[in-house]
Formats: sequence, structure tokens, C-alpha cells
Amino acid sequence: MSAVLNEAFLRQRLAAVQQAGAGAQSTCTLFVVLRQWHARSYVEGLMGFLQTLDAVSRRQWLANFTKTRVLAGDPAREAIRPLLQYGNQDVGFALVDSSRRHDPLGSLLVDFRSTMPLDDGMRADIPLAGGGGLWHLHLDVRGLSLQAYIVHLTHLLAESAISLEERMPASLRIAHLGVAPTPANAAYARIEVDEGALHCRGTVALE
Amino acid sequence: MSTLYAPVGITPTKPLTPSHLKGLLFFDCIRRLESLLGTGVVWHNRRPWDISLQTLRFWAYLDATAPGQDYTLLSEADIGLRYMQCFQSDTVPQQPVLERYIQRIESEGYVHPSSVRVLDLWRGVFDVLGLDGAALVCSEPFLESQQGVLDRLAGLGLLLDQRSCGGAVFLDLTDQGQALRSLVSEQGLPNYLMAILRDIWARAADHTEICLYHDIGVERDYVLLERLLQLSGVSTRRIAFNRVAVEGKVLSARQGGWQYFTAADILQRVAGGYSAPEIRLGFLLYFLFDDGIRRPKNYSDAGLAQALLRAREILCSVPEGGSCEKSVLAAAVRTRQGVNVYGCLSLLQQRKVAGGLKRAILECLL
Repeated sequence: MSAVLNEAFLRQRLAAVQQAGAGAQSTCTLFVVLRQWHARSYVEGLMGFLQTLDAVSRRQWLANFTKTRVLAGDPAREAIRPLLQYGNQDVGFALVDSSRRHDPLGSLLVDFRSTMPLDDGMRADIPLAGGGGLWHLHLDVRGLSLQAYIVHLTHLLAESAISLEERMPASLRIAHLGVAPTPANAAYARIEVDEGALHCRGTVALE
Repeated sequence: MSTLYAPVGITPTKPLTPSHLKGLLFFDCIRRLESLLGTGVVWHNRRPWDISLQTLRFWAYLDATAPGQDYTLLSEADIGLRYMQCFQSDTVPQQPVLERYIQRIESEGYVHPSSVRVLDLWRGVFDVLGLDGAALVCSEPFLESQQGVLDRLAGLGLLLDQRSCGGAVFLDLTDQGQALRSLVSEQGLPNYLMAILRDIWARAADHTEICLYHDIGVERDYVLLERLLQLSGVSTRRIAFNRVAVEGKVLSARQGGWQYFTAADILQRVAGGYSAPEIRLGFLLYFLFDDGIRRPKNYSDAGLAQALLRAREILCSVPEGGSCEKSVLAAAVRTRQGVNVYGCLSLLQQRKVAGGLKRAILECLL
């Protein structure tokens, strides 16, 4: 499962992303309903949500890498809770068919926006309920708003869990960086293409 | 029974347009007719509108682009054009700039000289049409602090506060089927809804009900206000009015389209030679009766001129004195929730209606 994080690996990841949707019957959007940002609560909620996804939903997810909307809202509200597939007091998740033109979540809630700066030296260990090992998540936070950060974090974790078909980790170690991550044993990478150049925004490495 | 009337304000940054006239006249008629049914207090506080972001942005734009400008000689159109230019430009003032204006408005009731000039020009129109000049001068401090409002919302379970993670503060009525609405931006700037709440929520406690009055363009926000006030135990009703189309379009003043159609232009062009009662009644007939249900596609000078002629005929035909009891008039205009302004103006124009009732209507409305 490990790979050296080099140009060839990045190209391979990009090709995988570009081909992922080829067999999908429909597209979907992940709605994230955020009441408060707490990294631990968020990751716990996301991992819990991922465990509820069946094989069809997992394939759908891989076909929709970039479609995540982070909304401000209270997932515990009576009007919101039934629209979510999983949630806790701080965050809720719903994978929704993108062809629905008037999704009630999108109608009731608004995009989450934050001015909170991200600390590029932050390190955090988040214990999780999974039975797997330790995952190292490295994320280049330069130029990211919190809302963009959440999108990257979500995709890194979700797509690692789905595509690597690994057991959920027992613990997650998050490191914010001020440079592109280059761990030699990255198992999954989130790639950005900027004017033709490949840029690694984040990686997940398994231990 | 006492009603607190809280009409929407007009930001003094642009010319008065036909839509403004309709709104002002309609509210004035409602207030006069409802005074037959019970007591009421009109709360015309300009401060929530002075402190709104659209006003602040305009004032900051003027001070940045024309520092030291003497506004005392500028016309409504001069200032209105600058207003359009402001919103056509991409420049949005920095937060510290806006905060300085907010602080001055809150602490000393500051009004920018351009708006002082606009209010002065509007006064002429208000005087001719017999409108309440308090709307131009009243600028009172808010009864409640921002935090006080947020605490109350939290107590009602209607607050989503994301400031701890750099986010905005929202009024959360999603359980009532209403979309989440920001009150304070993620930059920390409160919007006009917050200002309205600070201004009227606590004040409503001294009355048995509150009547919100607004134009249809801000209906979504006023529906939220209505729901919130009701949930907090304040008996609330809401009256909306439609804007008037000019040359086929209903535009905001910032988009233009008012040139040649300002209230002052219209008065000068169409109402020359008429007495003050004829002008007022003619405008009521045009904007609240002809435009009320028949809804002409556009404002038209010809239509207004015809209404002025009708007003002159009515005033000539209704005998002086002998008005009926107020209770008779009250019964004629009362509806389940208030009064029927359109019906009242209709009565004035029906031949079979008794002269005493018509006289009472005229005495009430003029």
C-alpha cells in the first residue's frame, strides 16, 4: 500500500482521480453541516459516517472527488437531523444525489465561512474507535481558509478509507505544514493541478 | 390595546422614487385609518438604516473619493449618481473604516453630510404630501446591545454562533422552515437585521402588538423578524407593499432608472396648479388605488395626472362638514387584521356612498 511520493506517484493519483467516475451511474455531493469546528469531533463524525456507506455509495464517492459543500448549521435541529445520514452535536453528513435541483439542506443552510487563521505548525493526535493502526495525515495549509481546509481534510480521510479499503485507524496524527508534504511512505495523496504543474496538498501514510 | 408600528426606513443616500412614495403613502394611510381602531405609536428610527452596510459603504466611498466635498449645493440626482457609482465599483471599505462609522453613529448619531443634504431635499416632498417628518429626523440610540440580542436569541434556542471558529452569527429558524440568516458576518460586522432587533425587540414589550411594515424586496427578512418576535411572545403582524415599475422595470436605486422619475421631478412636472389636499389625495388615488390592484405596467405621468383630476372632482363634490361618526368609518374600513386602504379609497369614488362617510374619509386621510 505504500508508495514513494514522487512525480510518477502524483501522475498515477491524478489518473486515478480522472478515471474514477467512468463507471458511475449518478453523481453525488457531500453536504457537511457544521455547527462548531472541533477537529476531534469532526474526524470522529466523518469516520463514523464513512462506516455507514455501502459499496454503491463508496463508488459514488470516488466519482465525486471535488463535490463537498460545507454548510453552517446545527445538525441537531429537528429540521436538519432527518436530512443527514450521520452526525454528532458538532457536525453532520449527507451524501446527496447531485441531480436533485433543490436540496433542502442547501435551501435551509448557507455556506460555512471562517476567517480563522490556520496554524502551519499544528500537531494533533486524535484517538479513534477503529481497530487499525496509526494514520499520519500531513496537510499543506498555506493559503487555506478553514472551509477549504475542511474540504481537503474530508477528502483525504474519506478517499484514503475508501480506496485503500483499510480498517479504520485506531488513531490519527494530523500535522499542518507550511510546505507541500513529501513523506516517503504516503499511501494516499491529494493532488492539485496549478497551471499544469502537480502540487501535493496533503498525504495520508499508514503505520 | 397599543400597536407599535415599525416601518422600514429609507436609506438617505439616493433620490425618492415612485416606490418610496407608494410605501410612505400606504403606511401613512394605514396609520391614520388604524388610529380609528385603537392607539398606536409609530417608531421611525433612522438609525438602523444609517448603520446598514449599504449606507456605510456609500459614506466611506464618498469620503475616499471626494474628501472635503461640499454637499449643500448638490441635487438628489448628483448624490444618487454617486450612489450608483459606488455600487458599480468593486471597492469595499476595510473593516476598520466601517467600524469607525459605526462607532460614530452609535455614540453621536452621526449622519454624513451627503445624507444630511438628501434628508433636507426629501423634506420638501414630505411637506407637500403631508407625510410624517419624524421619519427624516428621528435617530435614537438602540435600546439593546448586540450581545443582549444574542443572549436573548440563545435563550430561545434560535442562535447559531460560530465566532469561536472564525465564523458568522446566525438567526436559526430552520425548525420553522426558514433559511439560516446571518446577523453578524464572519468579519464581525452586524447587518441591518441585527440593528432592527436592537432597536425594536425590547421596545415591543411596552405594547400589545407590533406591526412590521416593509417593501416586498425584503420580505424574507421580515418574515424571519415576524416569526422571531412571535416566538418570543410578541404579538406581531406584517404588512408588505409592492414596488412601482418605472419604464417596465422594478429596480433598486443603486441600479438607476430613477432619472426623470424622482418624487421631486414628478411633483414639479405633474402636480403644478393643484392645491395641497388635491395633490395628496391624487397621489393616494394613483399609488394606492390605481397601482394597488389594477397594477399598471409602469408609473405614468398621464395616470397620475388623471388621478389628480379625480382628486379635484372628489374634493369639490364632497360637501363641507356633516361627516359621519368615526365609529361608522371605522366599521367601513376595518378588516380581520387591520384596515382596507384600497376599499377606503374606493368608497370615496362611489356615487352611492353617503357624503358624510366620504367627508369622514377625507378628514382622516388628508
